[in-house]
Amino acid sequence: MKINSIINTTIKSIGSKKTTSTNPFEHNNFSGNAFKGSVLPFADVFQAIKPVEAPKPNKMKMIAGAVLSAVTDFKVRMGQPIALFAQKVREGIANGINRVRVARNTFREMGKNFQGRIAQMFDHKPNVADVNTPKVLNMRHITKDAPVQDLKATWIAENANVAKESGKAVA
Amino acid sequence: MNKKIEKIIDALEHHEDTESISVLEELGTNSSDNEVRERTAQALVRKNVPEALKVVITNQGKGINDLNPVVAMSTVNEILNLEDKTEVIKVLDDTVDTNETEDIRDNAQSVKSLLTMSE
Repeated sequence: MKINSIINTTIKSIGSKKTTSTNPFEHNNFSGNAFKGSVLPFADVFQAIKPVEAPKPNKMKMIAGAVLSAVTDFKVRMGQPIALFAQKVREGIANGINRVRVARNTFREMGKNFQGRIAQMFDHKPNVADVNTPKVLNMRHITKDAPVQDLKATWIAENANVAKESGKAVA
Repeated sequence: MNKKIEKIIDALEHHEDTESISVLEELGTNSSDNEVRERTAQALVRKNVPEALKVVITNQGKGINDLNPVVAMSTVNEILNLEDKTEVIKVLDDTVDTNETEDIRDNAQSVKSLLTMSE
């Protein structure tokens, strides 16, 4: 009986209290001082400070800076190709002069060789080395008009061939 | 005989350069091949000049003095076939009179006798 009476009194006391605010701290006691203020539902209690706005940039200054940087960059960009171009031109001229010199010598040698070839074609003059060195003649060139030394050299060479084939020396 | 060597000997036989006689003597008359020696002796006789005739008449073992009778008789036959025998008779007379070797003198005398008999 006592227990039922206690439960009933407690339920009545709870049911008799009315909530007039959404403040969750309304019934809390902060060092004896109860919070009586009203709070907006879902309000962000930590966003009380107003955000600091960034200073607005000066458009004129931005344009002027952009123009200045553009001009400076343009100078840098233009300066390098001009220097490179001048250097290439200078190197090209130097190479050209060298090539002309080489070509001049080459043409001179070509001229000499060509002249020699033409002279040989028309004169049929054998070289000095060819005259002094006896040649081994083939059958077609063994005639009474052939140089004696060539005939001798041919005879010696033929003796060597015969000796090689027969396996004994031919005096 | 080797055709190339035969052609060389033929070219030297008709060559106007007197150096051809030296080449024929050096390479031809000293060859170990009988045919080459025979053909070389013929070429030297056909030249019909004193220098060439002396090679086959006055040298031991060459021309008419060759140890091979075929080569020796072929050389004698070539001398007998010469149309103009003036130069060969001079060389034979000189060899009979002045050569130091008896065999060479006897051979030269025999050839001279054959020439006299053939005329």
